[in-house]
Amino acid sequence: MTIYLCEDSIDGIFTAIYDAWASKKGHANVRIELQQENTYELFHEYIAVVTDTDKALKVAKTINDRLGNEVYQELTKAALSCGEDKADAIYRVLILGFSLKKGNKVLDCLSNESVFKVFEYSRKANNEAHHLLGFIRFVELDNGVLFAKINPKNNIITILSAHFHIRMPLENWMIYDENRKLAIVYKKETVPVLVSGEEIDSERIERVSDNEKEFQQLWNSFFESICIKERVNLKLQMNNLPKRFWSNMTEMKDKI
Amino acid sequence: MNIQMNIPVQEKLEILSDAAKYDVACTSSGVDRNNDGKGLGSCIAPGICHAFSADGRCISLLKILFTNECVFDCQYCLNRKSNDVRRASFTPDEVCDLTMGFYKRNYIEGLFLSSGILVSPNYTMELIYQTVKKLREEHHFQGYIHVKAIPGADQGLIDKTGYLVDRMSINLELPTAEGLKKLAPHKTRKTILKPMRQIQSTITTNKNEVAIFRHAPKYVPAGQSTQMIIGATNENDYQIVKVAESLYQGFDLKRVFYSAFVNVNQDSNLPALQSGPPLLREHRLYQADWLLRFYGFKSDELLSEERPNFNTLLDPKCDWALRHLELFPIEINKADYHTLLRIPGIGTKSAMRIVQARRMASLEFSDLKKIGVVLKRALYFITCNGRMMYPTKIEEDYIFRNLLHVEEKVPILENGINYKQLNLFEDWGGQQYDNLFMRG
Repeated sequence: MTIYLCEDSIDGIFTAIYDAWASKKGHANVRIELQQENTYELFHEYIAVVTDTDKALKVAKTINDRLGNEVYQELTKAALSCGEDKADAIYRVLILGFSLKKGNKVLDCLSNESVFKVFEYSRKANNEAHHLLGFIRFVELDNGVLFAKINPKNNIITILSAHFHIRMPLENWMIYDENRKLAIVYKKETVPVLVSGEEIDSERIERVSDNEKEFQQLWNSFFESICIKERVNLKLQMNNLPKRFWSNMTEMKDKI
Repeated sequence: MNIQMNIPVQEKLEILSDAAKYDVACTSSGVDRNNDGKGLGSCIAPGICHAFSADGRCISLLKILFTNECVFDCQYCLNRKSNDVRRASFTPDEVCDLTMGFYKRNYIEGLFLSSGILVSPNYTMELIYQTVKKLREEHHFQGYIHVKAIPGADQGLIDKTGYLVDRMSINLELPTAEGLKKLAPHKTRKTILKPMRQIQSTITTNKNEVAIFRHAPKYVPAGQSTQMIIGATNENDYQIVKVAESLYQGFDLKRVFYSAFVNVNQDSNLPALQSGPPLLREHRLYQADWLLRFYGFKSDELLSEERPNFNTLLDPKCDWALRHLELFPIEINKADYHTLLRIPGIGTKSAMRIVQARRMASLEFSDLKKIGVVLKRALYFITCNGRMMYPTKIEEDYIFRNLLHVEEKVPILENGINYKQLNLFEDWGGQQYDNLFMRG
């Protein structure tokens, strides 16, 4: 068995798929894994994949051409998810998809294990992204920039940035994924830019605009008064708003 | 009446959100709109929940009254004229500043603006109109706006407002005209239904205009909704579901909301609720509402004059299936989408996935589980390739007893209160309830 170890990114996974396919070792004899603290097994050959945008682009184009954009979208969402064996699952789905007459229906084969995994992973990423579209909170800094910090399980910052790019074209804003040290920076009337590996100056983000505190207070008091006391149900609240989101939310962070 | 001048915004917000909280409609759904590059905001059709208050309800919109001063004296309402409560009114600028400030920070998806009746219906509607006009035209706000149309206001005013907002609603308040007469002496069924009909016909005309002139301004694009208070008067569930059905069919409403009655006024005409608001009843009505809108059920299939209330122990679909065992079991690999929807444990999503997945390969029980079918509930009603999951009797009492052991996800149960206890707590307005314990 030859095992390709790749970087945890769409480009990384797609490059590994390119290499594994091109090796012609036979699909049954190769596997793709994420490069992390792998436990190496005996009698396997390990190959570290060097991420290559050209190869990744070729794979992306092939998926789009032969399986359609809908499948491509689902696969990229699965690639951004926190599923540990996602890379190999995506590889297997491609093998299956290319063998079908109607490749664009490959994701309907839910009884196939890899298809089911991809379906689950993309749903996970999607759900978390949809949650965060609502739960993310911006703080207005003294230079007018709206700043938000997130700690998502899945790498969904690009999904969020696409949403806020449409929604707030005339504001300057920034979203920071603390877990992955990734940031999206948007300067008004330009395009969002992804910045990686930068630490955020924690003192800088404390310097907020003049009326920021006032708005936070207004929001907190609205949040309290909108609740119907006769219906209080903290368990339902927790089900709908899982606790892992609370630390970044204006109205919830003091309740932890 | 206690009118104060110069109340700080913080206090106004507390008073006027507290006064608006019994309005249930907080959805931001029904319209897709990108920003045109000249303002703030966008809408996405499924809607977005931004927070959940301690009662577990979603907060999507900044839900406020413009004013809680009111010339009406509706007995169920906290803001009735004869109540001695703190009164306050926003200015249009205050509403705009709050909406913009909250929206930028992603606290909310938009504005829900309702109001008490200040001076007259026209006067109040004009204030609402001026506020949303300012928000749309001066602040270039492009997020979601839901406003209440004030019954009795001129059609011209309601129409002007309709071109600025995404959703409009008029509350039916109580399910029947008699209930309304008893508890809301200043309102009549006619003054409520008339503007509802007007909005419906303008929506239809506007849809035709938009079809011809693509850039014609859109009128109430997310449609209209309404709400009824449940448990303040003694209607049964059958009457309520019938009313909802006729609103969907006759008025093209997008949503009918049900609001479990909370007794805020201790009026002698109102029922005293020893055990709090009738939450299980409200939950069953929402389940039935879903069955009407998405599952192709008719109200007469769910309830009848003889069985006028929902089963407390089973959801309306399980209850229906148990009374129609002659239709089961249904073969998963053959039945069409609409038949699949009638099976307990199968929802709209899983039915759609079944239809898609079985084109590629015939489905087994293990596949159904992956697809999201709740097998614990479905197994009594289905076959896969001619086989049932376990050898099981298709017999009403047997299945009923087994289904009782399947825990139902009910959002209202807390602190270990179970169904049977809840059943005892609930106030069913003196109605004799079809008690299935007797049968088991």
